[in-house]
Amino acid sequence: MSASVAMASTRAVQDAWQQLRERVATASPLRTSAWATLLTVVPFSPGYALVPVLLVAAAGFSWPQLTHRAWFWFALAGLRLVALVPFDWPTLDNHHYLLTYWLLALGFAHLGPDPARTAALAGRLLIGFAFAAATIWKLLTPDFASGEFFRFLLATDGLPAPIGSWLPGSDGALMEANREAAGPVLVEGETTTLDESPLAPALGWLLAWWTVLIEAVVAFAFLVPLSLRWAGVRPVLLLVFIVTTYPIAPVIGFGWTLVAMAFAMVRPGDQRTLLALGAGALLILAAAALHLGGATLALVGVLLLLGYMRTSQRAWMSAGAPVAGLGSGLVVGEPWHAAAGIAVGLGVEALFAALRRRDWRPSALVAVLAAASAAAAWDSPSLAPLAWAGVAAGAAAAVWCGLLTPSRALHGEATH
Amino acid sequence: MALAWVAPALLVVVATVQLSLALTQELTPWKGGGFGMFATVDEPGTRVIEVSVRTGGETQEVVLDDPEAVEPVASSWWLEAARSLPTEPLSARAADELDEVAWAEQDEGLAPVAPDEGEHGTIREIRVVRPALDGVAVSRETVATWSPRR
Repeated sequence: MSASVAMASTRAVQDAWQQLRERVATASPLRTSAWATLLTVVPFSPGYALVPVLLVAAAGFSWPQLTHRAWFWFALAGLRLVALVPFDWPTLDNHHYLLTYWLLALGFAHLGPDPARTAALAGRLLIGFAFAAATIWKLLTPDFASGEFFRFLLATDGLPAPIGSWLPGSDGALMEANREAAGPVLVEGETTTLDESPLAPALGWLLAWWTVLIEAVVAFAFLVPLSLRWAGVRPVLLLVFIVTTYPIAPVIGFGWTLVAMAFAMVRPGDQRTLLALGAGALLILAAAALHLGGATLALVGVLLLLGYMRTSQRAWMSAGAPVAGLGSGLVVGEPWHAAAGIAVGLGVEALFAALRRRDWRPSALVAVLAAASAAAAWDSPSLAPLAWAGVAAGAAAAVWCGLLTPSRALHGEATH
Repeated sequence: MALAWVAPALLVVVATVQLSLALTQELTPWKGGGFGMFATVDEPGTRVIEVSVRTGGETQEVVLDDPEAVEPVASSWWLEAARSLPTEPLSARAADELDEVAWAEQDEGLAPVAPDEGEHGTIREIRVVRPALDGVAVSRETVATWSPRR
């Protein structure tokens, strides 16, 4: 019995891997990049712009041809600019800037005759200039170049990964004592000297200069024109950066934006690079899941993969909106936000499925889902059950509309 | 292919402005679109706003390590902005917001409270301070000081 289950499981994994390879073999780099960009833009949009951004992004998942229109990307960039610049600029993280530039770049790329080449060049330059600016800042900041920045983080466990407490001569209690000592410095004005592991100065210096080196090399490789033979080194360098940086500091919004841009630069048919970059995106997600303690975050990855492996193109596109909704809910913070995120995603998909099939019955469920999302937006734990009810209704809507198990009609629609 | 350069050119312009604001106006390197994150401990979360408040004929120092403490009486937005970029216009606007706040003695000194639970004060000075490192010795450093002309 157990042997047959094991064989069936192995066969299922092999089939899934084969399906994934077949999908990747025929994937267009620009379309993959568009899909990854849409998945990134929804979770990393401000709460008050979430619904319009999700609506536009979900339209892109439902009608992929929209992603070939310049106005589609300008609309997403415009929504972010209107929402972010007046309200959030003093506190805005850099990945919001980078993502908005990339949305603009996709818009401008679709104004010209060769969107794929234009987007690839724009992505390459954006990564190159962003890494050049990051390198300049690190060289300009004495605390960084001396290794003091990382020594401080190692002494207080200030990095998302608690590597400070893993060092010899250091532990969680020392980290706690250092944090308590450093806390009142700004208030009381007394200088405090922190205790640290004997290895911390060397490790701080090594982390600092490795970061400078890899960021400078990525900037150089992406800004300087390279022959076709050498251009293949760019994604490798980006992956080296991802593998050595994000397990320690998983800034998922920045990492996913980098991967979305890098997808556009992959040569058509280059399965290996496309898969490696996809693995890089999942590594960032896994590191974030470890840091945030969210098994639900890992679920995003599984859903992503399942969505991508669907044989019907329409079906895997359809997985995008709920997954993006889930991601946004998780970024906002609490499980019921995630629940409402899925609910809104499924609801939006149901609405667009209704539009595609000219069947308006599911739109009644959309109203339920909107109520669930409003409950989450209310930020009240007592209304969390309503959000979960929204998920159940959304799942029902999805099955009804044939989103998760595509009907012949939908499949036919996708192939026409 | 010129279209490919538009967004990257925008990035370069914004990053140059950010660098200039950081070097001349004490904008925190982490913010402003210059990609200075993870380069220094000087980020908005480690900066603290200190306020000299005059209430009942006495001037006291108040540390606002969480600008949201002034909500909902006043908007914390201007305090957040002045903490990231302590220029005169932003500090003046932050002082205007703080003029709306009532203050009362709490366990750890004077603190913002609901309007009917405290006394309105006059803001005499706003200071933004940040941590400074020397090896693993941590001290405080004043980023900017601003006094309203009253």
